[in-house]
Amino acid sequence: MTASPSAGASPDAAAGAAPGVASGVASGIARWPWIVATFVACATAISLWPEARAALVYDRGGPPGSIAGGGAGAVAAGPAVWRALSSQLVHDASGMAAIDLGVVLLAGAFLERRDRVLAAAALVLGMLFVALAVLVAGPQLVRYEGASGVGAALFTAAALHVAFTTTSRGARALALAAAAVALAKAAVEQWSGWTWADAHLPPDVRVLPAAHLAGSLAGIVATLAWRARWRS
Amino acid sequence: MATLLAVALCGGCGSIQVRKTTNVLDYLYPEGTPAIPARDVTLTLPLRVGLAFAPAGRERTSSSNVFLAGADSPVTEMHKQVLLQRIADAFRGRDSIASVDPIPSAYLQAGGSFANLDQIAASMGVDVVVLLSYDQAQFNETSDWSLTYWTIVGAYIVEGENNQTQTFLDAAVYDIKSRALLFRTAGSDVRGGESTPIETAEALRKASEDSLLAATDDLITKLDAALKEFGRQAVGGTVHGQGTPALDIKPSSEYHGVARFEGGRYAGAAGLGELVLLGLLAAAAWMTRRAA
Repeated sequence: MTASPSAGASPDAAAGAAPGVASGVASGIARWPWIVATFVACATAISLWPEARAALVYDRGGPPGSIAGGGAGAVAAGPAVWRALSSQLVHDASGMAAIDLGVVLLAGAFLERRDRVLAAAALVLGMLFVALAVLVAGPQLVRYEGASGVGAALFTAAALHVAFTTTSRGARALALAAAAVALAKAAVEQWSGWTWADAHLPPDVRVLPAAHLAGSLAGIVATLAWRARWRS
Repeated sequence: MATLLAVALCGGCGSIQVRKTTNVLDYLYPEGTPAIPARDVTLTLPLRVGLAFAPAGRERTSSSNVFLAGADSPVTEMHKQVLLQRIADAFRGRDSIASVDPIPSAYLQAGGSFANLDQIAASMGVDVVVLLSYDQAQFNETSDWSLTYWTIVGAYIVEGENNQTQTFLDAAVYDIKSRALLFRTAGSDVRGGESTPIETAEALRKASEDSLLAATDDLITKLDAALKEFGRQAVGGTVHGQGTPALDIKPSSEYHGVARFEGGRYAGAAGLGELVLLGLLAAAAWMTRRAA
């Protein structure tokens, strides 16, 4: 699943990395990461536009703050399933938007410049996996927003891409460790309920660790599929 | 004539107190009952909730006022049901609550403890019970205007009695099956007023009812907030934090609503951990370039 078969002067290729991988790196290295940039631009615009946020956010209940409220009407109507996807472009708090979209931009641009197809796959699979996590999260979840799941997918894919393409043992170990730590962190968050990311969130918003775990798994699946296609 | 004589004698008297109380602990843990440790809690949504006043077996009233015959009467069952209905109405129609039913006091035996609650759970089909108790104190002080009572006419027209009513209404929410106190909160009301000595008993009785009603409204607001806080705590998987019984909230098979114990707002938020990991990735990329 390499972006392009063309070879180039990438460090990996020059160092004798696998041709398919190297070509992907080579063709992507000079590319402008327009897929990730478009995602971040859309998310930024939506996060600055209250009406768009309200239209796209995933919300199963009534007005915010109406605990045990909502009522039968809100439940019967329910949110459209597609909002589990669109809500990942929504950020109500500027601090949350800055960190989430910062991670998406840095990890995503890094990956897309190396391999556009893998970046696109990680982004799409990340959104789908996170949406699934939101939909099955259970009755306690009423409202969801944020792109950190996509960020986790792009980061994990980027780390694994480096691990699979580099010829440096140290870099491979570091990249694998980064991917493993990201996955372990998401798993620990999921099973302990403890997170690092609460500080910059509004007081009534909690982190959904399942989103990070789903994102990391999406990154792994995307990278394994990309690798399997290259091997075939 | 006796009343007027009493009025005259009591002109200038100090504070007079009427006190009405009930106690949840007297009901759940009557004298000699060992403490029953709470088990882990599993709440199945939607919940069926029962509302009741702690029984009147230990209800205490006291008064030292010769005028106030009747002002120290306990809160009537009819008035209790009005208050319970008011609370029930405020919590009906929510996604996570299937029913809220006031339980008549006759169903609760004084000192009945959890065995009595088990009977109620079985007969009325409730999972969780909200036990209310109250402490109401009324004070009456005679002002300097009481000198006019000597004119007899003054006792009928001069409002020389200063009355104050303080009400504290406590609600403790118990999961019957596990014996666990899920949360508690309280509403309160303080009000004052003046009256003629002839009208004092009636004024205090009315103030007692009005104050209980106002405390109930305050309690409804506080219960709403306490329910929200309980929902936040529930996410951590315990009733009151570390060391307290484990708490699991799950929907029943026929439940299609939204559990709104807490605000329910979640976000996929990155944080410091992700920034540290990006640093690792950058280091790996730099090492790759360097190796090449």
